[in-house]
Amino acid sequence: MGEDEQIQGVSFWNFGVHVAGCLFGAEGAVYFTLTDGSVARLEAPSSASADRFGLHGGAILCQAPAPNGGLFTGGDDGRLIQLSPNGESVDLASLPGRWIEHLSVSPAGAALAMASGKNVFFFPGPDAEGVDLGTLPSSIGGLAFSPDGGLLAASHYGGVTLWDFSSGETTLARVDLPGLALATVFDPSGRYLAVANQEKSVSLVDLAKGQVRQLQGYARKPLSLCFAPGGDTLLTSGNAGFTAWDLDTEGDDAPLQIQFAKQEETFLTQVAAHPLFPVAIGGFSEGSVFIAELSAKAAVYVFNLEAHKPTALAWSADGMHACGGNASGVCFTALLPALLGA
Amino acid sequence: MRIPVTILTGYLGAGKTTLLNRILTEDHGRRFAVVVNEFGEIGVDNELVVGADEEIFEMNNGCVCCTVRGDLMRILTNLAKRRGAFDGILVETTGLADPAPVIQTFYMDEDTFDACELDSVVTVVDAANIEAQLTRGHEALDQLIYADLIVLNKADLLGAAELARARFRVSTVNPYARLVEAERCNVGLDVVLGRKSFDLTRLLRIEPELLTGDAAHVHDDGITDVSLVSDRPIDEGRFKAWLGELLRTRGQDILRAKGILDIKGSERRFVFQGVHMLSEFSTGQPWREGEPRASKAVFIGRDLDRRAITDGFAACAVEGGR
Repeated sequence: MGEDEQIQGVSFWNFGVHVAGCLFGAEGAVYFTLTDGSVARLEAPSSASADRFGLHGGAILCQAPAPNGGLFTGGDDGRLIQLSPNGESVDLASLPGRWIEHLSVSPAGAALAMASGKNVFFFPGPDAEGVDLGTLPSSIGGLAFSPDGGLLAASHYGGVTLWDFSSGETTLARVDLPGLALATVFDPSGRYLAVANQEKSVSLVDLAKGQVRQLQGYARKPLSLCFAPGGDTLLTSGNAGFTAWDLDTEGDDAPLQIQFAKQEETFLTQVAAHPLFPVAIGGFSEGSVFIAELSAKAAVYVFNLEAHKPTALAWSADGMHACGGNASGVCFTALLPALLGA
Repeated sequence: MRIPVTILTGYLGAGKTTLLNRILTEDHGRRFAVVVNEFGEIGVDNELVVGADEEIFEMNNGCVCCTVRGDLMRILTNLAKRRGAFDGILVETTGLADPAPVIQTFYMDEDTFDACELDSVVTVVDAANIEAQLTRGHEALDQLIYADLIVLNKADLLGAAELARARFRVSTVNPYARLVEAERCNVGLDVVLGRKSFDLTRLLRIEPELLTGDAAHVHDDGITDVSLVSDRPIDEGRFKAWLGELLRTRGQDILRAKGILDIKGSERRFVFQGVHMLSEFSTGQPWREGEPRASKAVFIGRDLDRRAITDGFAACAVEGGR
């Protein structure tokens, strides 16, 4: 963002290292996780100063919001750490010599899961010990709880493994998918599971029908995936513009791909759907950030993150704020009206 | 700037771990992240040592030779996020590994390619046992074929005649790699690290007898190498079309291809390299004023048709001058 890009309602920060992730804590703070092992915290999106907490011996690789504020972080030092809103940190798990690469909390915040290599560890409650759910066929590429917390999905080579905790007794199922499965997300209703694939496609699993569709048409791996709030549109990175798939949730038609806001010589690296409205924020590899109106399949430029690719984008639960960060450490927080040009 | 990566291969017991421990403990002024296959073997407590499970996947393009290391994609792209924390990455393979999937990972995964640059393949050889290892299976042979630098280790355990024989044996498999002798891997680390072998400047000093334009070695196990030279400039479009077709149709048999070309109309060297069906082009050093220009290339593979490759390459040269 240059001198000419001072935007009312948008604040910029530079933490100097690759941003692994960002999220809004339940207490209202904004957290940026960094690959020097530290977390930067803004007490509120409009805060004038940031606190920095050195947590890990190596890079932070994953993060998830903790139920009562603060967050969980996993790192390449093999540690799972909880940082509380009061700034205290506690080690929850330690796997020396291994990396903790994926974390997911169940939406009610009751359970936590983490993936390290081929293993998934399940923490049933806030103070419960982690349980090793077993060794999967290959390293885990993505991990996600379903919206009701009843299912946990872990992607790997050859498919997705699903643990069902809803009946009180844990049951296991596997959905076969081609190739190496990566980032994994559920839609808000829990009916669909979208799984990015190494070979530039998305597997869309309809859990209600037991059906899998392979969504093709990507220039790059679509590693950033999200569903719009109604659950009828899947948004992904991986092309020169936003890629939207309109799903026929009533009938059986194949999803329809629409690409919009295509930019030259760049590609979308991150996309995050607004929690309430058909709106999304997206970041392109040369640093520009766009806000998209999904009803119109159109997007407008908002600002540029100093020419480095965005690596993280997130919305607050009430949808009033967005935050994001890039590969060089430039981060932002923004008010929704500012992003919409109001 | 992409992060340079050195691949360290070698048969079981050849001395890879000895070399890794030296790289991690000696004061050479540079920091390396090290990806090892046996985490416990490294006797150094270092946050930049990463254990890897060798996870080899076939890509879905229907080609059985298009295999990659899924674990490496993950590790290398994650390490790249710590840019600045180290100067380079070393990847150790298991003693029985085929180096091809490791090399191919750099070309088949865009995120790995964007973040990292393959610097060189270093193969550690047990001088006393290489002969037996070459007859036992294809693993030792594959590791030699892909090498840019061969460390002939445990040289002190052999007499002069036996050592000369081991040198000869290794160089008949791969005459293009630099060969250094070592005791307990006491090779200078500046020789091993940051070699930029893939800029292929070594090809400019291929053995003289290979520069006749139609040389070919035939090794045991049906491994052939075809060495090509042209004094006439090469037409870039014709060359790319020919190479593309050659790798598409014969890629399963072509283990390695590399070359430096004098392209008509260009003042810079044109560099290419390939592994099986994959190839990469880049621009090398400029030709100096008055420097004699020539194009040199080598193909190493199984049962290669020397005549067809030689004729195909010759047809890429332009008539007359530049």
